[in-house]
Amino acid sequence: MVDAGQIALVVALVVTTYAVVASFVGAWQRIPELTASARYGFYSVPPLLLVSTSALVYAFVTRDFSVRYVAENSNFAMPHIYTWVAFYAGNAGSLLYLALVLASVSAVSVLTIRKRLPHTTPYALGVMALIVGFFLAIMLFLANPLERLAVVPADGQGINPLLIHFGMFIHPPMQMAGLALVAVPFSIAMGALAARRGGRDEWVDLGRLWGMVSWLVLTIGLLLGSWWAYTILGWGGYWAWDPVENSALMPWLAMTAFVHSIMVQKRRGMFRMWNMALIIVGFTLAQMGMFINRGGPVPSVHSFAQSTMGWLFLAFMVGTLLLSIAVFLWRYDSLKSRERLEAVVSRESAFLGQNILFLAVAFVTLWGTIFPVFSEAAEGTVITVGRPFFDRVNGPLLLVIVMLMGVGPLLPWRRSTSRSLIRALRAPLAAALLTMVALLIVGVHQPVALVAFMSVALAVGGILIEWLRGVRSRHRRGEAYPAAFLNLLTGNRPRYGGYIVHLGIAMLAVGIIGSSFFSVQRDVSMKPGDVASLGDYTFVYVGATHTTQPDSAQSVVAFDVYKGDNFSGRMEANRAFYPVFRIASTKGAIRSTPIEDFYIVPSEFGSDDEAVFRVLINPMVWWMWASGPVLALGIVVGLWPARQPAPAVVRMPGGAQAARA
Amino acid sequence: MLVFIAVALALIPAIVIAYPFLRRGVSREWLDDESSPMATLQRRWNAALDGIRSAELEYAIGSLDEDDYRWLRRQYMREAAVVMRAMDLEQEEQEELLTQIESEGARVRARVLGNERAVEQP
Repeated sequence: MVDAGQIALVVALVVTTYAVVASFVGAWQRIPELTASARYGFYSVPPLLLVSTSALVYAFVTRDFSVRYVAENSNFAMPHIYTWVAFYAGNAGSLLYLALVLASVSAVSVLTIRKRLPHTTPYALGVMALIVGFFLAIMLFLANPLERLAVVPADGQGINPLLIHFGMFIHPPMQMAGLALVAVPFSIAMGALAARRGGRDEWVDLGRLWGMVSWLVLTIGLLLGSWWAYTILGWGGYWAWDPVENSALMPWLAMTAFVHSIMVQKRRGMFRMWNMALIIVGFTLAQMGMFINRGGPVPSVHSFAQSTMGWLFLAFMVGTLLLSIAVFLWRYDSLKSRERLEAVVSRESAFLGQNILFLAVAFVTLWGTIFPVFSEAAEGTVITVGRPFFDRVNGPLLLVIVMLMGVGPLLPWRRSTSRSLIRALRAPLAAALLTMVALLIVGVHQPVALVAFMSVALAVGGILIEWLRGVRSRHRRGEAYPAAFLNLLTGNRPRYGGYIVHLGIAMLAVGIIGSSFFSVQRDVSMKPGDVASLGDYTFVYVGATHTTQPDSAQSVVAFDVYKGDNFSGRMEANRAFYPVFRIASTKGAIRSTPIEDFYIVPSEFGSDDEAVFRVLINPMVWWMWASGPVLALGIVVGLWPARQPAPAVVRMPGGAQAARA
Repeated sequence: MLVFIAVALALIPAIVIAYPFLRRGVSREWLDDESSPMATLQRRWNAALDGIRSAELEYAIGSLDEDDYRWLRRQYMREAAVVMRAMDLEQEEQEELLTQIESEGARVRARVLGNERAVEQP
């Protein structure tokens, strides 16, 4: 089975190389048979990679430690359910996973674009095949997941204990898939540019569709990563501006800007250069993420696929960036906008402002992430940029983005008079002011927090009021409220799908604002039977249970927790030490409600079960995790194809016929 | 056995790669030109129609002032007229398309406001 997987990898690389050459040559020389042959060949790459993946999974399941990757990432103590996690736990396996996902999604994307973009598709396919080929070549020549060992060990090393967490079943695959999927809209954009017939607006619909898909996957990956950090890293937070976190955030920011500004190109034929530049930046930042995660120069708690081949990823990133810039400059003339901005106050301007802010946050984050490398090169000492820098610089920028999220959708396209602006904003502004008054009454006096919550209220108020008006109008027509709501939503899915996504972002913002401004914590040393308190909570340390597992020493601590006089329940936190890895893994005890999380995590154990605990109250964190399904729902609603009426066929000049919806 | 697996794994891609050279009709693939002037006009037409839909919706739910609504509608109608002229359509075809725009606007208004109020709107 392992040998079949090896052969499939070799065949996949040969076929992918053929697809690159045949696509570009066929498109350039206009040989349809050659481009079709490249396309069909490329369709066969995912099944081949599936054979290799099955071979690796089979080796894991049968504990075939003759395979180096299996021996390094599993052992007999590992439950079979973690085979899926072990598959991508190391560098070689994660490369196979990346190649499989990218090849599969690329093949699907080619199926979706080939009819509508016949001239663009061969070039786009060539770019996609080039990227897949890069991963395959690295695997075959430098990091083969199916490589055999000369001496077979009796047992494997085991899986990294920090990966033994429910979030790891979804977070790394989503995060890696998100970074890889940015390649799809990038390839479509580059294909449109290279096709010489494209580069204007032909690629916009499909580029937007795949941009939104990659954005959603990146978003879910980021959220799950934060959740994993919150529950297992044992410091009570979810975001530390760590290099790997930043490297996932940066392409997300660029893609967020892209999925907004591409709307302007679709509607107005504007921002053509800007959108090309954004997708190039997004793809480059996604490559940067892979580089940092695989042997980049800055260490991170999230780097599980570390290797010594970071320079290869860096070279690939620089190479694709230079090529993209060359194609951009070559086709510069075709990228001039059809129209100009007509007014400063318009939806287009709001998109542009928001785009600039997103890029500003991305570049601040990039600078903070790579600053240690520059400081070391310049002064010989590594100066790490910490959380205060990111919070102080990015915090205000993100706040303005949230404000624009509230104002932007309320502005009409092209221009808005002051009367329209006031009409659109008065109700959301009232919602923001009411929120401020309510917060002042409950004792929130921090000015920045007040402004932040008001910005969220402005955004949510604008959306809800528009929905309310629409639903009320339909209700007057005789529809029941639920039906009126659903019909309004299905009648204009892209608009209301976008609003649902904005509601999800508002939920995310509420979680971030609440936990950033109002979190309280206390470190307390306790013996069994001791009682301590924090805020309204009183907690009794019941005791600890210690067990020895084949691969670890586990300690479970139990607390009885009271809120006021009411018993909230018994909470258990877990700390495990894995001697092979010399890693301690801590799972916090968390009681989560929409108002606040009560969080206990053991940090040090002494004699007689005396231990030091970090106890936190993190307000509103629950809203962050709840935002994930809302964001996914919004994207699904927005992308769900509308039922089209039968197109009317109208004769066009020259005897041709065109179908119009 | 290994040789058999290798041949099988290599044969399938080889067959699909060779297939386009063996069948007829592939050369018709590029007949549709995604950036032809007509396709471009089609996209501009759709964009103008989207603009009218959006203006109707925003006006119907009260987000848009009447002056802005009329101005926007005029702009999009002008864009649609430019597209029609560029398409060099017959008079009756132009009228058919203009009726299509009107009915699209009415459809959006009806969706938001209900049939009775929709007809009262300008």
